[in-house]
Amino acid sequence: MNGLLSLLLTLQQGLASQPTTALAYLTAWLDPLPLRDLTADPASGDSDELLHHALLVCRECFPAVYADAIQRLHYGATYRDLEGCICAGMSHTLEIPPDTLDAIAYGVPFQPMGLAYDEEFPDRYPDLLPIFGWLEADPTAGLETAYPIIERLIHSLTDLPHGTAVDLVALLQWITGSSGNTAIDFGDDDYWDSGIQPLDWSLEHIALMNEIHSEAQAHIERAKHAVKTLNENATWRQAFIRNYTLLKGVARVDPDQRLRWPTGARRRTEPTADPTT
Amino acid sequence: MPTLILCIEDLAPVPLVGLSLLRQPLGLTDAARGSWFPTDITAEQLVAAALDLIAYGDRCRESAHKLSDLHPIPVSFSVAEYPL
Repeated sequence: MNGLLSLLLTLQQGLASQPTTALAYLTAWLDPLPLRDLTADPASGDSDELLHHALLVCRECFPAVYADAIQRLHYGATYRDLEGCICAGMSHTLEIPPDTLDAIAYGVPFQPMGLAYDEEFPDRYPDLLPIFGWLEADPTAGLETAYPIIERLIHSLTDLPHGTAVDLVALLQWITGSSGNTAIDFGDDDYWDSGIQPLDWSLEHIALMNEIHSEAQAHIERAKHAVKTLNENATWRQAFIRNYTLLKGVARVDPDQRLRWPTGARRRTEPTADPTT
Repeated sequence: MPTLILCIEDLAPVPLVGLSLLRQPLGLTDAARGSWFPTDITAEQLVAAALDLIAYGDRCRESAHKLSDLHPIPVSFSVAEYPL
């Protein structure tokens, strides 16, 4: 061992042996952020502030990512290296992880998955076009006129103990933005125009956002399954078109009494028909 | 205040997880790399030590905040009827 290495080891052992210097040494090693500041101004857009803010978020909500990032800082990691390590680390916990440190500055990432009715709709959702054909609606203009009828269809399908009925409700709620889940009901532009504020970083908000996103993803999977069923199953497709046409033509149809869905999709609350009558 | 400082100084050092890691002599590899910090530890040890230190620091900041906001309390009061 040469003299310089020996000196380094002696200094290290000396620092670690006294409580006060040991605590300073430990803080520099594992948690140096409070030495600078426990606040950041990510809105400034300055890369140093963005990194500092991201590290503060990790310190609060992703301690394993924080510990890893601090060690990388000690060994001269670049901004891009740290951005990659932090975003990848967050992806183990978040359903929708950020892809840049700028994204972290806006709070817990939120991904609207709702439909946007505009000129690009046919290119974005070609699988949904037949549905709009059956509803006689223009997908670039939305479903405002069909909405009350679809609402009654949803009502008639709700509680039917049949997987396809559940899928169909998911589809109808998705295309009308009426599920009650913000991620399903808002398209990108609608969400950013809505003025809804992003959630601040906290463990509670992360859990809530994960729940919203996983529910939305499952809901949209069911909706896509319903599209497949309507395309491939003539019985369900005909029932869907028939019931929609019936409601459209007769304003005062009672959905529970008049609408008929394929066998096995009887309403749970509907009494079984008496065979003697 | 001097008494308070003496009381705090008399407290035994908190056995932080990271301190025991720091007090292990640096490996020759660490030293050869010019590293001041241990690298020959597992990710789990590192995270445990960081969590422990963050929690300790937060407790210290909270205590310091409480101490800075203490109101004076009279240790003796000459009006005998005061409790009544």
